[in-house]
Amino acid sequence: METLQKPEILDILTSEMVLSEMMKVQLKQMCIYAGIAGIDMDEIRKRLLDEGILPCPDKNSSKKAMAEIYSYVACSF
Amino acid sequence: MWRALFDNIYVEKRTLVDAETKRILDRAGCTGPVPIDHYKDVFDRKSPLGKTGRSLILAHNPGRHLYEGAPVCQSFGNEHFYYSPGVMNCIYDCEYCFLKGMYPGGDICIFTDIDETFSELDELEKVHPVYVCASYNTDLTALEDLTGYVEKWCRRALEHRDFSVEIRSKCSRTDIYSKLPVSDRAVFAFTISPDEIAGRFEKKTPGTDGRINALKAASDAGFPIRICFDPMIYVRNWREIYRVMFEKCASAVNPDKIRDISIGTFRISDQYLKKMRKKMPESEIAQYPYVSEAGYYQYPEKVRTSMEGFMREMILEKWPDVSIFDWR
Repeated sequence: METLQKPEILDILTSEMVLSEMMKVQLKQMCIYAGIAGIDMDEIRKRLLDEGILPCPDKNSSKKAMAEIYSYVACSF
Repeated sequence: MWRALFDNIYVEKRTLVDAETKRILDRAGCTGPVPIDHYKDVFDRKSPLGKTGRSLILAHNPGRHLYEGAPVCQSFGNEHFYYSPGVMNCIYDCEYCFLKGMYPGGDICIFTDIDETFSELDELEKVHPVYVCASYNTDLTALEDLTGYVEKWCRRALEHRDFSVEIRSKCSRTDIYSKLPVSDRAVFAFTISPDEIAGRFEKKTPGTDGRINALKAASDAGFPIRICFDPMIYVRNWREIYRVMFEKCASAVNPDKIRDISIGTFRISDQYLKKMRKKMPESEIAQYPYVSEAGYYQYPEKVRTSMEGFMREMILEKWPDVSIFDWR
């Protein structure tokens, strides 16, 4: 399967979560940074799908997914 | 030589007759500067897309010559901490530098009325001791052949008991320190970065070894030394590259010569970051998803504490007696 490109992954993740406008801005910034830093966002999406964290039915579960994505993008070492 | 660095040299008309202006023009080998009315006529122009050249501007400072230090800057225990905007902008091109959010372009402006700065200091020193960061908005050491201001600041430190100065640099020059007036009130601070960080994000700067050599030259000349592992920049392999960098320092530097060390991960005011993101849409540093706390963007706590803690542990292991400051 091809790795999803930055604009596509943002749209897909947005469609799989229930996000406030602020959360959308935060997710977009994560996707921008991931694209520049060479971080594969599709990898974390697949993991969250496998773990049943995505798709999210409500805002609370979306916050958990967002925290997982943030940790993967901004705090991996 | 300076013609290679600057496309044009502009001089405010009112400063053309100043001895200091003439001296700098002479050092620059410039016989035909472009006269202007006000430095902002050139300095405030936004750099056109793709423009890489820069101009030099000589001017008088119409505002304050000293400002109190910002909360995110370290005062190193000095109660009365100021910075001098005597030179605005830097010959280096560090991707994370707050100057990118502060100034509209890359032109360098030297205020030639440095004596006015010293007059302000005379008044302050009557009230309390003063500590000044003289290289806050520039890299003064890298410009020393042009300005001679490092020598002036060092001389003042030698002659004024209630004055101390920090001159911070990434410059690898080793030849100037033995010619400067030495005192323990003139502290030379060196920002040391891993080669990978310097190569990727600190364009035109020397690498780790060059900066360590300069640090040793300043130390050998008798100046107190400050090592700044600040700003530490997050990349995925940060642990490895900062470890290699520190091992180079530890094997080259005598800890008895170090006044203190500062540690800090990258942080920046929210206003500056917004401007940097607009200016540099492809910058890994500008586009990192920072957290905002009290008006400043910084790395999330997990990153901050891991990186700063890692650096602190390495220092304490090798140099247990050296004072360490962090910015919080």
